[in-house]
Amino acid sequence: METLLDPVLIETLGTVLAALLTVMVLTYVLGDNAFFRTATFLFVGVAGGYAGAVAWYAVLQPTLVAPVLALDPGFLFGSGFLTDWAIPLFLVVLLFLRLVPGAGRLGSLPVAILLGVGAASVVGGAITGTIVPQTLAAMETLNPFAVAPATGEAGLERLGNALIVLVGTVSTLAYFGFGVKRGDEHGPRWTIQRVKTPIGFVPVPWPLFPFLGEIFIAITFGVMFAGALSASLLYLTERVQFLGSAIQFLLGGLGIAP
Amino acid sequence: MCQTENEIGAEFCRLCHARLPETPIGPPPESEGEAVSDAGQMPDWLSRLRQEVSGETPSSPPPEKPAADDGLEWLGEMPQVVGEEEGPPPGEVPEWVGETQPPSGAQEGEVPEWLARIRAKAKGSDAPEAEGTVEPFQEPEADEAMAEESPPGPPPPVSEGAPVIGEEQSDSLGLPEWLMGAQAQEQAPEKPSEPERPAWLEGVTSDESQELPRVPALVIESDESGVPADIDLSDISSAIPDWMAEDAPAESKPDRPDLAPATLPAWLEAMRPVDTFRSVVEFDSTEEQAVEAAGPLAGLRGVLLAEPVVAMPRAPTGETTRLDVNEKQFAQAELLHRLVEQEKQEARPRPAERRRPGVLRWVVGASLLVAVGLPAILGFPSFDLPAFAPVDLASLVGLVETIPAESTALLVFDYEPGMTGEMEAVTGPLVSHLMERGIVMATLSTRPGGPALAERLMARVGATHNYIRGEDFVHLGYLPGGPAAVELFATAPQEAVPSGYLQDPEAGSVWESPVLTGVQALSDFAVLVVITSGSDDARVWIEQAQPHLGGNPLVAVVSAGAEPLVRPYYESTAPKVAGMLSGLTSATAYEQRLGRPSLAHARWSSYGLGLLAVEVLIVLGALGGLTSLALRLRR
Repeated sequence: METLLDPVLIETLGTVLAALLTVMVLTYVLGDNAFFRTATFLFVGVAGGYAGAVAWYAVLQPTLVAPVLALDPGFLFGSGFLTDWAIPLFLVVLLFLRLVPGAGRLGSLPVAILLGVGAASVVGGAITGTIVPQTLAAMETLNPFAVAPATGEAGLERLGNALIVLVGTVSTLAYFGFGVKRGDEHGPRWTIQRVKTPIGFVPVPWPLFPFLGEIFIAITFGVMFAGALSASLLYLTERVQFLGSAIQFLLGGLGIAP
Repeated sequence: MCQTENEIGAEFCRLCHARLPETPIGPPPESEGEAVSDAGQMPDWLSRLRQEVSGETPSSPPPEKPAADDGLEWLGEMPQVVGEEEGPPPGEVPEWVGETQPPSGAQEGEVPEWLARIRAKAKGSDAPEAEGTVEPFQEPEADEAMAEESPPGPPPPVSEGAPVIGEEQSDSLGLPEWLMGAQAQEQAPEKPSEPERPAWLEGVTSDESQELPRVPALVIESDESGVPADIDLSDISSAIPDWMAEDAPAESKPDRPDLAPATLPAWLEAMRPVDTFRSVVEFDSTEEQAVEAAGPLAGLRGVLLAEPVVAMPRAPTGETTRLDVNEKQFAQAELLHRLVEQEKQEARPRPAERRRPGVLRWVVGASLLVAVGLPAILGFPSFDLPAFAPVDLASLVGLVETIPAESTALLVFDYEPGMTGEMEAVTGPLVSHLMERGIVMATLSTRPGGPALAERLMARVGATHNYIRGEDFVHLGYLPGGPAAVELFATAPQEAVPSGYLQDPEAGSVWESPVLTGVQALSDFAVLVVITSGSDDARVWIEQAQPHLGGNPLVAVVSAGAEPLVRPYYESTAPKVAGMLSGLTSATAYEQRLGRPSLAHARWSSYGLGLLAVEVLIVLGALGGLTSLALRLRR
C-alpha cells in the first residue's frame, strides 16, 4: 500500500510534533502542569498501542492466523499443528477465560506454565551463569599470580585490587548482618570507641567491618548515581540538540535562514 | 408483719392483727391489759427528766435488769457508753428539753402533719372494712374485750375435725400447690365471718396512699416486769424455711395472757407450718460478735451490720440504669463514637499535594538548559576531546578486529526509546567499526519498540557504509517471552523468531535471507553485541545466551548508570563479557580511533559543559549545606 501523504510533509509534521512534545515535557521544570501530563499520557497511550500492534503483527498473526488461512495441508495435517498451533491456541483461550466470571480458575493453567517456565529459566541461569562462576572468580582474585584477561592486571596491582575486593565483600556482608542486635534496636550499627594502642587511645569505629561496609556501599551508590546523572545529561543534550536542529529546519523551510 | 402504718398507741395491726411495738410516747395505759409502761422502756435519766419537766410521778417502778436465765445476757454485756445513760444531774433540765413542749394527754393534736394524713386515710379506709368481711381495726378497748373473750395463749391447735378451707376458696387466693398441700394438713380456726377475699387484699385495695409503711422488722416486747419477753415468731412463721423450723424449741412460745388469740388472719393461720417451726434468730456468742468500728455505734458489740442489707441483691430500679454524666464525659463519649464511626468508613486516598517548585529548582533547571544548549545551538564554548582512551576500549577494538570478515554478528537492542540519546551515541562507533570490517548483521530485541530503534540506528550508520537492509543487515524483530524466550532463542533461534521485522513477505522467511545464510544456532554468530540501558537485560543475556555462544565473544554496550553492575562480568578472571563499551567518553574515543566523528563528537561539548554545571551545582549545594549546618550549630 503506497503512502498517500508527502514524505516531506510527514517528516515536517513529525519534527514539529516531536519538538512540541519535547517542550511540553521540559515544562516540568516549572512544576507539574497540564502540558507535562498531556505529553505523559500521550506517550503512555502510544507506547501501549504500538506494543499491541507489534504483538499482533509479530506474534499472533504469523503464528496463529496465517498458518490456518494458508490452508497448507502439510501444516494442518502435520505434527506441528498440535504443538505449534492447537495447544498454544487452547492456552490462549484459557487465558482469556480469566476475564469471564466463574471461569477464571481455568485461566490459572497458562499462567502457571508461564510463571513456572520463567522461574525455572531465571533460577537456572542465575546459578549456572552468575552465582557459581562469579563466586569462583571472586575466590580466584585472591591468587596473586592470577591475571585478569580483560584488564591485564598482575603483580602488586592485582594483589591490591584483590585485597580491596576482599575487604569490600566481607565488610558489605557484615553491614547486612541480619542478626539480633544488642541494646537499642534502632541504634547505629557502629559507634566510635577509644581503643588503646601503643601510641595511646585512638578513636576507632567499632565494630570495624560494618563501618567499612557502609563506606563501600556509599561509594557504590555514588558511582551509580554519577552514571545515571551522566546518562540523563546525555538525554537532555540530545533533546536540546534536536530542538535546535528542528528550529533550523523549520526556519529553513520557511525561507528564514539563521 | 404486714408493714401497715397504724395509729400511734395501737397495740395490734389493723390489717394483720399482729401485735405492734409500743410507742415510747403516748397516753398512759388505761388498763392492766396494757401492762407495758413507758417508763419501762425509757432510760433512767430520761424518765427523771420527764418527771422534772411534767411533774409526773413515776407510774411504775424502774425496770429491773433481766434475769440471767432469760437468754438475753448478751444485752447486759453490751458496753456501757460513759455519760450517755447518766444524763444531766438532778434538778438541771437541758436547754433542749426546756424548749420542747411538755407532753400532754392529747396526742392527736401533737402528731406531725404527715402522720395525721396517714391516719385520716386509714380511718377513711376502715369504715368499709368494718362493714365488710375484714376485721376492723381494734382500739385498745376493743382489744381488751377481745382478750377477755378469747382464751389467752397461742392460737388453738389445729385439729382434724376443724373445717378445712375449701379448694374454691384457696383457688381464689391463687396459692401454689405446695401451699395447697400445707392447707390440706392444717386446719384453720373456725371463723364464721370468714371473708371471701383476704383481709390484707381488701386493705390494699382501699388504701389509696402511695407512701410506703415503715414498721420495725423485729418486735421485742416486754412484760409487765420490764423483762424482755421471748420473741414471738409465730407471726412470721410462714416466711421461715423448713430447715429453720426444725430446730425451733417447743417451749419457745410461752403463755401470753396479754395477746389476743386472733393476732393472725385466718388465711395466714391456715398456712402456718406448726410442726416445722424453729427460731429464726440465733445469736452468736459475745466473742464471735463483731464490734462496730465506725459511726455512732462505734465500740458496740453485736449490733446489726448494715453491709448485708446494702449488699443484698435486689431488683434494679429505673434510676440505677440511668447514667449521670457531666458535660465533659458526654463530649468524650461523643468523640469516641465519632472515632468508631470513622473506622467503619473506607479510607480514601488523599490526592497528592501539589506544591509549587521553589526558586532553587528553577535555577538548577535553567543552568542545565543553558549549559547544554549553548554549545549545541551556538557552537561555543567547545571542549577538547579526550586525550586518553579508556583501557576497555583497546581490548574491544582488538576484539572487533579479530572477527572474520563476511561473518554474521547479532546485535540485541534492549533499550527504550527514551534512552536513544545515550545509546545511539555510544553504539554508533561500534556498529560503524563492524561495518568497516564488512560484517553483516542481524538485529533482535526483547522489547516491542526495539526493532524500530534498531532500524533507526542501522539506517543512520549504514548510510555512511552503504549497508542495505535485507542484503547487509536484517531485523529478526521482536522476541517475546523474557528470559525463557532468550533461552529458547539461544537453543533454537529459528523456532523462537519465525518472522522478521520489515521483511518483504515475498522474499520468504528472514532466515532465508543471505545475511543469515549458514546460521542455524546461536554459536553461528561471530559475535553477540548486547546493547542495553539496564543491568537486568545484560544479566539475562549473559546468563542465558553466553553459554550457547560456543566460545564466541559477547560484547556489552551499556548505559553509564548500569556499568558498575555489569563490569564484574567483564573484569572477572573467567569473564563472561569479552568486551565492554560504556559512556560518552569511550564512544568519543572510539570515534577518534576510527576517524569518523559522529554523534559522540557532536554532543561532547554540550555534555562537557553540562557536567561542569552539574559539578558546580553540587559544590554550591555542599557549601550551602555546610553553611546552614554551621549556622545551626552556632545557634
